[in-house]
Amino acid sequence: MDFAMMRLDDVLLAPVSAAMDDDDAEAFRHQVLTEIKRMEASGLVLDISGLPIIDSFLSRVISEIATAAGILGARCVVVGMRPAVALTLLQMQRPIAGVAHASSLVRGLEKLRAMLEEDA
Amino acid sequence: MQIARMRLLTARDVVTARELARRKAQELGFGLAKQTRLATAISEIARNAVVHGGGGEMEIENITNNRHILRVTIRDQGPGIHDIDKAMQDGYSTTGTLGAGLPGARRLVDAFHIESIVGQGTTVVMEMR
Amino acid sequence: MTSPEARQQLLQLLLQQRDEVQRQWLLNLYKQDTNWSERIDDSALHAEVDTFLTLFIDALQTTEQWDSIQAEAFTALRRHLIDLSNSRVIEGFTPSETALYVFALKQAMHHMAGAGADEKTQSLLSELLSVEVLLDQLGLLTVESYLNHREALIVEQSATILEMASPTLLVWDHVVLLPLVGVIDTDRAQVILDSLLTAISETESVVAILDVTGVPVIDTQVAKHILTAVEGAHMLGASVIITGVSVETAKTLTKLQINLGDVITRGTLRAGLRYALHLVGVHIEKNA
Repeated sequence: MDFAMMRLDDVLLAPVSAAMDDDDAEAFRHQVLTEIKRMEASGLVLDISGLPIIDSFLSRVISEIATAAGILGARCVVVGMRPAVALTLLQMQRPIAGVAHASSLVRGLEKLRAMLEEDA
Repeated sequence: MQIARMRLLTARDVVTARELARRKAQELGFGLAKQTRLATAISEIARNAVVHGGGGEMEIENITNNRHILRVTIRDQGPGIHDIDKAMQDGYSTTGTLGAGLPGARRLVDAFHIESIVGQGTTVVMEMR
Repeated sequence: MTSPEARQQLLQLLLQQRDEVQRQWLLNLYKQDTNWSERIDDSALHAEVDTFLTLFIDALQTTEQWDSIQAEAFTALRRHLIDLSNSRVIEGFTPSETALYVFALKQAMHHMAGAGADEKTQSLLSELLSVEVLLDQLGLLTVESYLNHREALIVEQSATILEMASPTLLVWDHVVLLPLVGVIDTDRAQVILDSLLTAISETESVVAILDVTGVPVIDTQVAKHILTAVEGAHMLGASVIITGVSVETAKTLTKLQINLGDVITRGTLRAGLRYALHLVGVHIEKNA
């Protein structure tokens, strides 16, 4: 499976697809990290607005991609989590913590810019 | 009344199962929050059946009693769980997976019942009201 | 048609046969679908049945008015039954199960009255009893349906009230305010969380102000709900500012050693709003 991703200057924009199963999620993780390294990205925006549910496996993959991106030198912002998904994660007592979030793509890019400026 | 039934053999089936349950919950008039909670719980349990149970099946029933109750049963004929109490605790895992599956799913549904016989398999019954 | 003689006869019979009536009543109870033996302690059920019969016979001996339980003589019995019903609610019995408890005595009384009669009268009584049991069940069906419907209405109404009590206000671009008023229990916390997250998502807010001026008590439980709301808002990309914390609350929180972590808090809504605007990069100046 090949995932559609977009490059905005030094930022990689990766939308997570709704129909992704566990195997696809692993392939997605690999492709995102490979792309970050190839383009020497300084930022990653993970767009999860298309996900109607996030279970413990997906939530772990999302946190781990963010951490791994950091190790490769890219700051990560997760954008577009649906309110019902956030409620569910809270109810499971497994919020995705330790990662920057934003409500939309635009807000996410703003937040990423602010984070990168702070780093500089 | 049984309203859906499917085999759980592959990672793809886990996605199909949770989508199926979400659609059924929606048809019965459950709100978005409950649809999401149920689908997420099914994802956890169906994955267990596929990854640890060597495959299984899911059955969805509609029990109408004043209001709708959705009952989802997921069973496998896998190795079973030795210590269920321990498996229901956070952070417990038999095969290096996160171990959030069972306790997480239990917190999402209105009723949760698990039965496991070592060597024979595991059955999880969940209800949403 | 009632006659004093028949009444006396029945009363005498009841006094003589009291133990047998009590035994029959318990037998009838254990035959019901209610599964009494698993849901209530045997000795407790025996004691309840015994108390009821004592009060019942007392009342029948005291008054001539057997046509209404509103008569003075039935006061103690009424009180006993009201208490009993209240505990049935807590023990999770249905209205029908609660009423059938009393109806089972009726069958025992029939049994007693018919004991001496000839065969023809006995079989007539027995058929009459069957029809009475049917009518009792039909009557109870109306009560159950009525209660179920009313309960559904109440649930619906409370949900509406809960939602009305949790408004969300967009006070500036990307700044949303939730004024919280009243006691925050688990149900309300869930509704507040829902409105908070929906509002953040819809308005793409980056700051959410939770004003707790109208919340009388903030204890460990409420603090936990607040921390959950903060985590939820964070996952949607918003920071939370808690405003309107009273001096009393600040004292309580420190006494209870409740750690609000790195949640931003302000004493007043005004101070919180000022900080929110700072976070979204707005500077307000007076005209020169």
